[in-house]
Amino acid sequence: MADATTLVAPKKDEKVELEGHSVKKDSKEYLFLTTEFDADKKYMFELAEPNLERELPIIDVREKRPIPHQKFKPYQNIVLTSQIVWNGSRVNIRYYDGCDSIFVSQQPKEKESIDQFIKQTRVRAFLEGRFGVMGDEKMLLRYLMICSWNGESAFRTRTANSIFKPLDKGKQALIESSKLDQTETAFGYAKEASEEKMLMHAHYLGIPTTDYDSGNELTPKEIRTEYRKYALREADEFIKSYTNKNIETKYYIDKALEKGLISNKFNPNKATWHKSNTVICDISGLKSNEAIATRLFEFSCTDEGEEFKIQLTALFN
Amino acid sequence: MLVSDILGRSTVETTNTTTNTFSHFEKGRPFGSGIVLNTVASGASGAAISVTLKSPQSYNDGAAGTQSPFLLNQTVKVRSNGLKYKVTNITRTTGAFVIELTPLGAYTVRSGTGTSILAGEGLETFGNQLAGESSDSQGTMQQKMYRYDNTCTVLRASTKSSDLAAMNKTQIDFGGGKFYEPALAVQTMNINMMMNVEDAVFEGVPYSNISGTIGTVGILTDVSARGSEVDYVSTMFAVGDFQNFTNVLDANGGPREYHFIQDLKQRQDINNLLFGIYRNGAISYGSVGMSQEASVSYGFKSFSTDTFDFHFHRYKGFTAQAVFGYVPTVGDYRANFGVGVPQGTVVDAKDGDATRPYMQWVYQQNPDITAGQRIYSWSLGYTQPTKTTEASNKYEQICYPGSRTIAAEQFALLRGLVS
Repeated sequence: MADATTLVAPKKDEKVELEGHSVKKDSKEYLFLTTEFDADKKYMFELAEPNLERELPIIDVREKRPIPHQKFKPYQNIVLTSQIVWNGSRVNIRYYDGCDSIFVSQQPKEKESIDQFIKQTRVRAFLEGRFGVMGDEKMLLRYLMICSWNGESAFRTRTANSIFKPLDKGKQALIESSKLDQTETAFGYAKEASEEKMLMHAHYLGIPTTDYDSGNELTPKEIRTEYRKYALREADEFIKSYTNKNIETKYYIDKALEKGLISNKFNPNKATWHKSNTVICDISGLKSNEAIATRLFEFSCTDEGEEFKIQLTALFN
Repeated sequence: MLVSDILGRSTVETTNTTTNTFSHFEKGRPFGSGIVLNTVASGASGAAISVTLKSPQSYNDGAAGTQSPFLLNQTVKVRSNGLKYKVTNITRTTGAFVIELTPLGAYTVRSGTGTSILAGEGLETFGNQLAGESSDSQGTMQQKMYRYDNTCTVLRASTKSSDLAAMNKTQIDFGGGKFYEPALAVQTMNINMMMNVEDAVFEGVPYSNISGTIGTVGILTDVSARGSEVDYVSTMFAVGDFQNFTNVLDANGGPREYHFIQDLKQRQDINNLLFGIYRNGAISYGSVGMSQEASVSYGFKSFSTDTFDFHFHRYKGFTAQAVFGYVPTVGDYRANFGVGVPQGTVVDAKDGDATRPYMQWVYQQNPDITAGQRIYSWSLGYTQPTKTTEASNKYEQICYPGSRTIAAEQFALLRGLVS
């Protein structure tokens, strides 16, 4: 061990030479040049723009049923030349089969060599919207990861067409898994919420409390079923609003207006407590219950309205 | 100039429909194929091997995967090496159709010269080429049949001119000795309606999000979904791009002759390439499915390569600068854009004797309106035959157009990408 060489890591902002490029340590250029690909893995890419769903489906005449919607066009070739923003300025890149670099500045300049490269480079294309390349095709992978046609490339120019994107199954699984977690949380809230909390939240979410066919009021059990279904369907919105304290105030205001506990009968321009005619706030020009409720809610959020909020909460508890 | 005028009636047919929804039929390919799902080791020479077919490419019924073009006793060819096999057993498992392949000769079931048949290998079906003596009935093969429905959308335009405006004579002759302002408004409405028809039919009118309305699926909507696209770097169009394009046309069974409907930038890109190659002017006037004289009079310039003839047409409708007079700065979906439209006719799948051009402008017509009058106009007002109490005149127009794209797979888009 005495003979071992001590490797000194470059300091941040210190420039390092990598494959003929002078790049800052930890910059996106540095990270790109040091990225390794798994030679046995197939890296997949997908067209960025799916087909619009046809308003009238195509019918299989024998089956008398619509054929499945084709998500992508059958064929689209990959353009193997692009400009990118590298180290803060535009540079040209170009992929050739058998060439050691994708940077045009590092590629052979002689016409004979370029002609040879052009001749030996195969056409690549997205078939049914997908294209896969093995990790051992390092230069092609590098090109696809960095070129401006890749909508997720950190090096793309602002003006370039976004043609495709990497299809990262791991990333997709993470997103889906996080969505499932969210659904589970929402479902848990919907099941465990107290009856009062559920009624307030269901009111905010617009879940009906009446059976419109019979006109009967729904029981809390029936409302909870709909409430749980909503949590399953719109988990994100459910969680966000569940933890919002203002919903409680809004619910109490709506109920107070509905029951006539707050009115403007004493003075059309003032919202007052019905029993005492004590003025709560000014509602000049407002006619509908909805507008008045909004004004009262805005008032409850101010310092002046703090007392009103306490009175309101006490009224319902 | 409108696309229908540029291409003429041999490529764009104008037709009527008596119903809002109209249909046409297309047949699938007569030859079936399948893709191997998983790599399978070859086994001994002459030994039968079972391979599972990839979904949905190998199935007639898409992802359901219970129908495949493969039949018992059929001869199957492997694309990588041309070796032939007999289908000796079929297991119809949903989404994982399995066929057993037995070599016709003393060789293994394999891809290329390897020791396995690889995932992604192409299997091509033929009839039974080795039926032998006293052979019995074979299975049935039938091309797929598809029905394409479309609807006519409703285009509407109105112009109203007050009594004072209608009396206001200007110093400008708006055509036909008409100096009064309403003449210009009506003329604008006519021009707008023509472009409105063209854009609705060509680009389509989506309607799934607007209740109470029916639009139409456009020519380019169908071509974008079912046709292929060849991209190139804008201003760097090269011979290889032409070859990409002809490969795509060939793969989809396209006819010999194509029209390019292009924006000016793409036309310039191609001109730069062709003038670079043929400095002495080898570009010829093509036949355009008619006489050479006719094509010259139409002003078509043509180029032939890889057994295809191309005719180039600049189409102003793709260009914001030409139509609207401004330069797009945030993006332009039709810049450096062109569509290859097949010239000629295809056999109507519904009526085997009839042939149709690839594009149709389909109009729904009210039986009370004179046949052939695609855009119906009427007027009412204080100086019109139908009087109103208000001292003004109203001029109205209505049109019910739709599109029919036949064999959209044989069209192709050509797009120049901008970095």
